[in-house]
Amino acid sequence: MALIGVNPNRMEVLRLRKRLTLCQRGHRLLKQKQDELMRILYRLIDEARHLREEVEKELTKAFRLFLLAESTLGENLIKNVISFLQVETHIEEQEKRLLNLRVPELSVEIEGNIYNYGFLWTNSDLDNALSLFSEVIPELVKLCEIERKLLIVADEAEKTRRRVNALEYILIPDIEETMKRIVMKLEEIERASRVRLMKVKEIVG
Amino acid sequence: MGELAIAILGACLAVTLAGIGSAIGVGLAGQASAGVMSEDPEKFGRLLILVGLPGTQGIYGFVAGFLTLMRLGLIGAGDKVVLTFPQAWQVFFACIPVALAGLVSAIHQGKVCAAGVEMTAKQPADSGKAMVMGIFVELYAVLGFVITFLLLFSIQF
Amino acid sequence: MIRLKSTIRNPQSTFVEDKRYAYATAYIRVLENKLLSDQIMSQLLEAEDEESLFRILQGGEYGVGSVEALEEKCREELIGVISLVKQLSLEMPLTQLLTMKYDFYNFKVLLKAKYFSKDVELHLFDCGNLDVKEIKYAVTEGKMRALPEGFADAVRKAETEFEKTEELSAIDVVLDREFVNTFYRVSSEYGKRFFIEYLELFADLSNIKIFFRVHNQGKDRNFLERVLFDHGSLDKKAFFKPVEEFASGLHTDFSHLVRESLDYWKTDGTSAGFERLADEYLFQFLKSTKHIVFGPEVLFAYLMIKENELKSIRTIVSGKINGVPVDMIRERIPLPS
Repeated sequence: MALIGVNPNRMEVLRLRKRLTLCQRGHRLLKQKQDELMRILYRLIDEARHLREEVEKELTKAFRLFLLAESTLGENLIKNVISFLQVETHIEEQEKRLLNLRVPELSVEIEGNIYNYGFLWTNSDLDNALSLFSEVIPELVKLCEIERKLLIVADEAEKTRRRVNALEYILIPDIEETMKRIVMKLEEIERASRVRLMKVKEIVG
Repeated sequence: MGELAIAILGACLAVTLAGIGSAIGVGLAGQASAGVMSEDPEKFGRLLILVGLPGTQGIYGFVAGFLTLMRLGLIGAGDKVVLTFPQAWQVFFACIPVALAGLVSAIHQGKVCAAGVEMTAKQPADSGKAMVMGIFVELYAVLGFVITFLLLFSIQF
Repeated sequence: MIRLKSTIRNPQSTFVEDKRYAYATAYIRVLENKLLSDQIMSQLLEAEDEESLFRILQGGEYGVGSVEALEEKCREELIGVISLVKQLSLEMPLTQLLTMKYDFYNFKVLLKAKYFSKDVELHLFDCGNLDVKEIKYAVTEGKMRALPEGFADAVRKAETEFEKTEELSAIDVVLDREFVNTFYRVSSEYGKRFFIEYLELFADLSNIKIFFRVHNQGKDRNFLERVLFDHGSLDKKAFFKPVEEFASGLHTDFSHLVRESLDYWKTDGTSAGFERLADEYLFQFLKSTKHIVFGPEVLFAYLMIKENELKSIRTIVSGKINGVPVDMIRERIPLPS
């Protein structure tokens, strides 16, 4: 535990006391912020987990159908369907504020006809796979957004926790300790001067 | 000599018609078995008899023609027979059973045998059955030949 | 899981035997013997792991060690079987009927590539009746005169339709329709009942498949009218109804297929079940060629069944290896017998 190098006088005690109250207030505020961040964090984790499960389930289904379509229709056909797709996916990023944090918000737009092929050389599995993919893409983007938010919030929570800890376990105890020392020192000085006074009285008297 | 010509015409018909039939029949069965063997050469043994079956009609026709010539004395040691007009026609008609029965039966036997070849391709164990089917058709060629034979030898010169 | 309950109508086509095909028919009979049996197919479906999959295939035509090798083998087999039936075919119309599908496919890809904004790698089938280079030249240079009758016309129609709608799928739609029309025309000229009946059945079943898929895609009546094929026995008007009404109003030899797969469609939202049943029905029709002693129909049926076998093997093996549930795979494997 480090002492703050200061002169032991009453002025300093007053100054430290002020600093202590400030620290305590800051600590309280940061604690509240930390709580809020944790709350958001848990909510995001929950959301992300749910969404991820859902997305994974849908993607598995989509990939299975696609695989079946690919193997029944043959590689050539699938490649031709895929290379001539006229679908464009636009993803836009906007910034939003969450507490004092900047978090991204993504919006996705799918343009064009996903069924851009004839019927004769294709089958319903391909239809279903492509429609599942186009449904899952917005969810995937949403998941990406949530996970990004999660990282930012987690990072901030970590920082806040470090600050709270620094206040709680280092700065505040340090100040308190220093104040105590100064007070003790002052008392010591007082006692010394009193003893000196008594001694002088004795000599004089 | 017109009489002799009629009799020879009969012999010729027996040989050629039966021969044509056999050629068509063997051709069909042969094509089919070539198809099988180009993918599965080991079947040669089983297919050989099926291909050969429609060929017998040609032999019957040939034998009938040969017998006719012998009976007419055109070949062999005997004297040349002098035919009357009815006799000539008798010889001619005697030749007809083997000619026609041979022609028609050989073609159909060819089909049956070709089908048998295909069957053998699918189920090699059943080649015997396929042969039996072919032999049933053979029967009618044999009947035709027998009648031709009997007729030829029952005509009195 | 639905399986075909009733069997197909007896082939109404009276086969006229064609002795010129004695060699070809016998050749094909041997090959038919080598097709994988349903038993092997179900063994494959039930195989525990990759190793046992390849063990089952060992010793046969598909005895290879890896998925890639199997893919390669399937490609080779397809090219091989097509060039074989082309060789065995003795008449131009038959060759056309056998390979027309691939020619039309190549036309589709090349035309789409021509009008597509980006450069794409072309995946063509080098097994049609027309040389790929010729088709490429004709399409890219726009010189259709060298093409056989029908193709140039079809390509022109597809181009006009594309210019009107600006959609690449229009090219597919037009050329698919032209494929069916050309098949009909060639088979009518060829005069064999079997091919005409096959096409009729094919058009009907394809139309029902399309009907289900158009419903699933959420497209409207006009679109449906545009993509349905001609030459089917069903009136096109029958299709402009809600699914259930359509199913109950159907009175043909194959209406039970539609009704059987309806529940499946309702719960799973996919018509894959019907597609399998329809293919099986079509194969049963093709299998009627087993009564033919000599005839070109045998070639056609064999080609179709072989193509299906290649498809099935690929589906089973890649499905199994990638952990697709067995029932899901089984639902996609039409068994010809």
